[in-house]
Amino acid sequence: MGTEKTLKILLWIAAVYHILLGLLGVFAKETAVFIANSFFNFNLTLNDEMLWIINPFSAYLLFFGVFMAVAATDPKKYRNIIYAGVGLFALRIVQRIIFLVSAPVALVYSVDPLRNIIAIAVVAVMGIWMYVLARKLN
Amino acid sequence: MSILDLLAAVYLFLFSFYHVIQGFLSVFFSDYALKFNEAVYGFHSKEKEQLKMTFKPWGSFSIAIGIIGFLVLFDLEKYFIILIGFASLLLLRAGYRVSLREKIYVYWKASPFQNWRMIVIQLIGIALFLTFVITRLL
Repeated sequence: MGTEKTLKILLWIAAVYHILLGLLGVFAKETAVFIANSFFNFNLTLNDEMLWIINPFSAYLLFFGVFMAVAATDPKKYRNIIYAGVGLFALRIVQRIIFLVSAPVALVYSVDPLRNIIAIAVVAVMGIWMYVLARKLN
Repeated sequence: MSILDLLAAVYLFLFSFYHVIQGFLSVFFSDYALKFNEAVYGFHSKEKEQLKMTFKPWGSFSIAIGIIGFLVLFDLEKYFIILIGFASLLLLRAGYRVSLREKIYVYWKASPFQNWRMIVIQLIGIALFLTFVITRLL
């Protein structure tokens, strides 16, 4: 498979993932606890404050996904946007590790450590792969 | 470059700068982020631990959106289509502020002036971004 086609597939995966999470946050807030537990390893208690914060947070997730979709339409043209996405992945990995190590125990949703390692590894591999492919584009 | 184009560029610079700063504070100095939100938006938070943890992923997306904004700013003619995404993001955020205004006043103790000031700022951005896009598409 060619470099550009592979990169497009990775970008679409990133786009669909973020758009779906964003849409759930915007239109189905009752799923927030499940999403926080499953995708952020965060033991969320849904109160009025959290119900409000989910609004802007979901909006950013949604539009980051939209920008990844735009980049997928023409990876050469939007190479810099892809690098910004890769930078976000790197920051999220560091945050997730810090969260798991230092967050108050009550806020960490207990899951198998192996699952955490796999989640971090998937994002890392995807980010590095996207970066390498974007660099290779002529 | 017309005066409206220049205004769109200035707005995009401020939009991007704000998102990077807000994101940086949220990720690395969440205590200051709470104070920042209180000073700028009048949001007086009650439960802080969950909120500070939520600021970190939200802040990283905010940084990514800000960096994408700067990338667009460096070559507005090439990346102008991204402005539709920024305008939509502002529209969604303004929509929340209108539809949830009672909650903002009662729960967060923000004043109607603080809320409507942000809505007006967001509407100005939407108008400038969409004007820029429309003039390029026509």
